[in-house]
Amino acid sequence: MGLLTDPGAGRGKLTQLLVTYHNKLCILLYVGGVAWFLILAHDNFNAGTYFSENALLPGLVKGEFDKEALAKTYQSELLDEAARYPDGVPYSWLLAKFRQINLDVYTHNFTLNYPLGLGTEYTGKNVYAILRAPRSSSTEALVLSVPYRPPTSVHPGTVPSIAIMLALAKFFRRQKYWAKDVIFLVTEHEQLGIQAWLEAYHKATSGRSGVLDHGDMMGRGGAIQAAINLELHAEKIMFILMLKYKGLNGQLPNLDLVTLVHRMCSKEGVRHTFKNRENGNYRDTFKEWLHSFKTLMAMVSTQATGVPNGNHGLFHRAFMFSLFAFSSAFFKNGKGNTALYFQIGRVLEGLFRSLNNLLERFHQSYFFYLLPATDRYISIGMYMPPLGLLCAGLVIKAFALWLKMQEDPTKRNDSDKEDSDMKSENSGSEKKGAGNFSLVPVGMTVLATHTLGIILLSSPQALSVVVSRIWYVNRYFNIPGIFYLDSKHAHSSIILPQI
Amino acid sequence: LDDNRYVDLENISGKLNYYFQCKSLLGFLFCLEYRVVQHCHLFPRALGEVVGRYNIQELHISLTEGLWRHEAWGYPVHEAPPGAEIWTWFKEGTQDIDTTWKELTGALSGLLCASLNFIDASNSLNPEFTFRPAGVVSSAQQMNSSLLRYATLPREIVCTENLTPWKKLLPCDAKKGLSTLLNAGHIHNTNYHSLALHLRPVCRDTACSKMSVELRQTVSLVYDMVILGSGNQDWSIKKLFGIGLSGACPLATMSNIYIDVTTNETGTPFQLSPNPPAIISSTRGGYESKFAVYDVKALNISGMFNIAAVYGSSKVYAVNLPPVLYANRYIIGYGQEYGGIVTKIHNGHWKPLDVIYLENIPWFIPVYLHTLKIVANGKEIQPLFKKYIPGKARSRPYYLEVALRLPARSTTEISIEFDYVFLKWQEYPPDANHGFYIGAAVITSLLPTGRNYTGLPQDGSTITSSFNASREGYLVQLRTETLIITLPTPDFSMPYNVICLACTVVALAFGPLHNITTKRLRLKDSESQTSLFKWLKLNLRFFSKSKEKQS
Repeated sequence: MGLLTDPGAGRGKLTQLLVTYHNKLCILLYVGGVAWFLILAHDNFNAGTYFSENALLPGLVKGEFDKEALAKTYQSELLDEAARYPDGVPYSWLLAKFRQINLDVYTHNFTLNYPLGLGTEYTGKNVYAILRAPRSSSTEALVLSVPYRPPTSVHPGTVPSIAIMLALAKFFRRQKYWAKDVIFLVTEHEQLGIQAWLEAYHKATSGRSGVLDHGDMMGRGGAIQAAINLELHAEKIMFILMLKYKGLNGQLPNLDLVTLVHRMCSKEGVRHTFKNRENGNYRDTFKEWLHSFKTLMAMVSTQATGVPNGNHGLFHRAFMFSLFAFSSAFFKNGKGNTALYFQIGRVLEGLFRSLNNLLERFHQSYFFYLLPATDRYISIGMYMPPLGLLCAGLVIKAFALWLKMQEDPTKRNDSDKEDSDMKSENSGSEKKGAGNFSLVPVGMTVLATHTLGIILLSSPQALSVVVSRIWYVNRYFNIPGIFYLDSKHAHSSIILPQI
Repeated sequence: LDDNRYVDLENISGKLNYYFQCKSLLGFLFCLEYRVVQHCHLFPRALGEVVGRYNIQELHISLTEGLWRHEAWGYPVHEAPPGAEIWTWFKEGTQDIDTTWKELTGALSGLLCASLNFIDASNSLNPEFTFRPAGVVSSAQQMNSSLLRYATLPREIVCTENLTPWKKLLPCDAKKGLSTLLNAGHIHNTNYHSLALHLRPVCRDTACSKMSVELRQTVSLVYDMVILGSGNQDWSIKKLFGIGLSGACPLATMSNIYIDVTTNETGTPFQLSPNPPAIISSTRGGYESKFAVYDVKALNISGMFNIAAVYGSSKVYAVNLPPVLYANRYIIGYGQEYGGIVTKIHNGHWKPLDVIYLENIPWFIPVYLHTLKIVANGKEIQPLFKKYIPGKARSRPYYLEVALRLPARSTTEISIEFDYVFLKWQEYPPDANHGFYIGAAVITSLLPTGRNYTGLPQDGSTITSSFNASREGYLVQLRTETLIITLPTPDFSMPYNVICLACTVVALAFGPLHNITTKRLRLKDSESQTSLFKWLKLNLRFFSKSKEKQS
């Protein structure tokens, strides 16, 4: 503070140098920051992932899942069943299957009063089954969720994931080691379903009340510790498990959970990718770096949008830190092993057993990180210095301008003569001088930016009314649904930045 | 010395629900005259001394793992919440009950190898309405709730170290009789197991001229045949307990096994082998049930005795008919700022039901009474009365007791809101991120029907006394789920980081600060300067001075 208040400060040689060369320095710092960030993708500058939470004990026990034949049966049954309900969910089939496995089965109804446009009302219904843990008294729970998509949906279907979920449920039910309830959840209407289910589970409404009526639910299973969202699209053979884990507003799951999934995939020999990119395996250092860097940039660019890339994203809000979407994708040059129900079942079994081992909820490892590969990470401590360099330019620039304002005009005139390249910058402040500095233009700028912000914030509502008057809102449920969620969370994120 | 001991085992199989394939209850009971505690014959001396020393009128302890799921399993014979629960009536005229209570729990903690010593005034209540003396009461003064203490330890984990001392209280230990069935390896593989001790005064004759102390030791187990079975519902004593029965305890006056065979007629039929010597039927509260009885003493067992149930057809899942009254409890809200506790009570009866709801909230979860909301079928209802004593940090839990009339066929939600608070850093338990437990709520009611009801009547002590015991009402005291909440927990590695940082800063700052504050600046004689450095400095100064002169 002495620097800002002491009139004598800023006359030193060092500060004079700063004032003289601050432009060059700012450019140097900026370039340095970018360069630093670029080299972070190189293996020598980031670290291999490891488990902070020892309780996870990943892959310590041998996988026992052997119900792949059953999963195939479920799949063919469900395909037949789904064909009978081209627009809906085959509830009776799902309920019957869960009941046959001896689980507590419940349904959950929700309503969306569509806030944009003409106020249409949509309803949905989720199905969930709870496996009551024999070793505890329902104080904690894990969630395995699958979005159901009818055959007419614009998104690829998820029938295989429901098949594997049912087979897993059947397998899990006969195990005696469960210490946390396992909730098997089939949601309707993509993210709306999961959002409504979570809101009903916690009886909390986020965003504007009265928009999403989350309804009530009968069965609960304690505090949700972790959740896995499963999406398998391919009908016959899965090539790759693609992992996604970006949450709402760029929230990430605990790094331990990310590591756990990748480690389980490696253990079962399932090819896994991050951002649809497998780990590179190049001899050339530059190519290796370029591959990692592209993966890293893919993560950074999706992080920047703040929109969750799957149903898992919404779980993060509820302090259930963790969610992944598995997804099958045909890799461009998809050679090598193919993963079948057997391997995927084993991966999920190992995953849930590890989560079941957890004594404390995820808190050990990083929540802020960047991933250049599936098994490497850049922690916040490593990516903050380049960011600091990028920002340092701004601070130095501001500081230099401040110092110039402090100088008295007479002296500045002298120095102007000596220093010609500073002349043009000083001319603006010279006219006003240090004494008659006016707050009006600054105030106007601040006011204008704030007004613009408020207008932008409230524009979706107003624009939608205008647009819907002209053009009737399309009937497809999913697309406006997602848009609605995005605009809603933009609101809530401003009010509650912590969640 | 009049003592009789009575041992029984009940096996209710396949009742009502597929999930609950088999529940069993072992009850051990012995009575004796209180005055002879000093030279007790069958009564466990260790317990007798505790009872005598701490002026105990009644004592009820339960150690439970797992949750009794009323919705699927009906009512248990003895209700118990997950973890440990203890409630005690002290005798009239006991001085300084809080201290006695603390000493008692300490002694019991040693006796049962449980963490009961963590019970003190900061987590005990004396509820006014929920708990009544279960035994004979000599005077009206004895009903005063200031003599009562109630506490739960929801985090308590029950395991073999509790089973062994519990078995040692039995006259035959685990050497002979039905207690030989209690093998830790098998009974801890169940979905629910609960050990309990119930001590109460009883009359020895109908005129009540003499009083006795009755000690009832019970263990309740729930087996899940889906996990245990190899795809079928068949069960046997050997399959459940890992061992057959080798005979009755010679000290026992009665040793019976009862098996509920009601479902043989209504649900999936099964065949018992060997054939039961007798089948008795019991009508209670309008519901008839049938029990197969094996008198172990009369069986003259040589070798191992086994009872098996073989089901004829493959699995038939009966539709689960939930009991008249059951409840669920859960936490609402997310984030670590505000939250709420909701208890949902379902009344399936066609008439309104009166219940008393007891909430026991630890002091570190400050609740707000003004947020108490009771909503039945969407309409807010007023309680008949409520009693609330706010908690006090580190010394007293929040006590809330509400009596309400549940409308017929309704779901009532009782909700109350609370704040998340920070604790002092030493108050966090090990594995602080696991969360903090909130004990079960107790819902007391007098049910008008005997459906799904297997509890003992107040005047009875054994399973036998519950047969044909129709009464005006059937007392149930439901225990709800325990809850777990995550209080804001500091990062416990932070102190280490802070220490490292602080030490570095102190080390760096100390030198210069010490220098500045302790040294005084003083002029020195130029003659005394001899070192090279000082010589140079002197010359330089001279040089600069001469330069100034030149300019």
